[in-house]
Amino acid sequence: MSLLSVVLLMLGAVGYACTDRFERIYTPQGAAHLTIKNMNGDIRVNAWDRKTINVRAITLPPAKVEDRVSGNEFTISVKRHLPPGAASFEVSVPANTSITLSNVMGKIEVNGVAGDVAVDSIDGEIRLQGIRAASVDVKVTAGNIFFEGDLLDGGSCSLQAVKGDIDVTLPAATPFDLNARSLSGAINIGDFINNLMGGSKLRKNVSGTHLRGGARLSLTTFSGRVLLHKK
Amino acid sequence: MFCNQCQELVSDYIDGALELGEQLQVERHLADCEACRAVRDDLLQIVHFSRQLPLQTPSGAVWSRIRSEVDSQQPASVWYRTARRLSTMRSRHFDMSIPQLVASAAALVIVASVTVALLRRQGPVDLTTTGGSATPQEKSLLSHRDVAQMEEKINELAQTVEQRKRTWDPELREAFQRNMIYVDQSLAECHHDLDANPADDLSQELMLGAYREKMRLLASFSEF
Repeated sequence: MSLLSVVLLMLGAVGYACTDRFERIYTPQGAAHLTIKNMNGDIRVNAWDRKTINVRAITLPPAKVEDRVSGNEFTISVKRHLPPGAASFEVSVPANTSITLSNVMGKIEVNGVAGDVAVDSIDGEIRLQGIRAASVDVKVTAGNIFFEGDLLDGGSCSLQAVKGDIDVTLPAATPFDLNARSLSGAINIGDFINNLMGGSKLRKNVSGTHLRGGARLSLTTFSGRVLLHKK
Repeated sequence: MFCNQCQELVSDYIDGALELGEQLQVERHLADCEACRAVRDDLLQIVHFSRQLPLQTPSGAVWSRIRSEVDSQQPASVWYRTARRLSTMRSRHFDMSIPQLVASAAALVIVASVTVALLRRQGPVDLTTTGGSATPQEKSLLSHRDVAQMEEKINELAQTVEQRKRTWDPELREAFQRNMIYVDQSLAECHHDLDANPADDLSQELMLGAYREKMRLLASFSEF
């Protein structure tokens, strides 16, 4: 083996162990829609009081991050490789930004967002806090889902896990139409049960209207608990 | 954890019947041990294969004859019986080695395959019926066509995943297998519930959701 080959091998080994950084600042004109398509790694999105969207990612090769901008649509994608590598995102957005996140493995956290939120994940916990969105749609195969926030009149919040608990905290005065289903776990809606009218209160399905109703709250887990708390 | 301990627990692991601590121990061992992963993969293939067998609707007379020959003990479907046979091993406390377990499961699959082959000779396929008692009209939410389309799509995606899986690293393979187990367990429970109460809307909705989850999972991993 030549000296050059040895040097290249050493450089390659060093390069593989190093992380890369991806950083972008976008300035949308009005309400924006941000999409992040990740494979392996955590995603954290925080609302802030600035008008820019800041995206920072730390990647472990061969994961490679690409972005695409079309008007107020911002799409960040991790190119699919084998082995998948990893990419962890830290994102700051104006509160009215709509968020679409997809991931295969890793935790997802969204804080303080008032735009629509859609999360599609396979393996990892999903935590949504301080959310006040007209539409929330979360699907995860294995992982607990935590939601703390409020529901807008006429809006919808759909949380679904195959294996994991669904834990929701809402203000006591929030009106909603509930449909909670668990194939093989307990459903406990706490004090909300006292003001839940109509519907059913079965072991696998609790449904009904809280106060005057309005927002649709759909909570489904196949193996796990559904828990509803008052804030 | 040693290999013999892991292999004693691996069928319970597939069943999702382990406590969290045991589950994590098994997962840690599997991550490092190729031999035990091979045992687990063999078991998974048997479980998956048996669960993917098409479901049939024989005429009443044929069903009675088949059922009396194949399963005079339990009233559930072939599909469900095979899956439950594997999933209830822990509760029955069988004292079996892994090779015995694999051989038993393989035998069950063969019995199920022969039964399906016999059923195929008798009449048209009805993919939605999981037992002898349900009529198509009772499953209003799950139309035959919808279920057939979903199963067709699932089979296509599963083939793609199977081809690509060879190139995956252990972490990705582990994540896929684990999540597939969760989805298949949910589907098995939905089938069980529908066997018991074919007209139950909730069970139908959940089964539809479980099928969609399986498609979502396979679609996601088919891109690797």
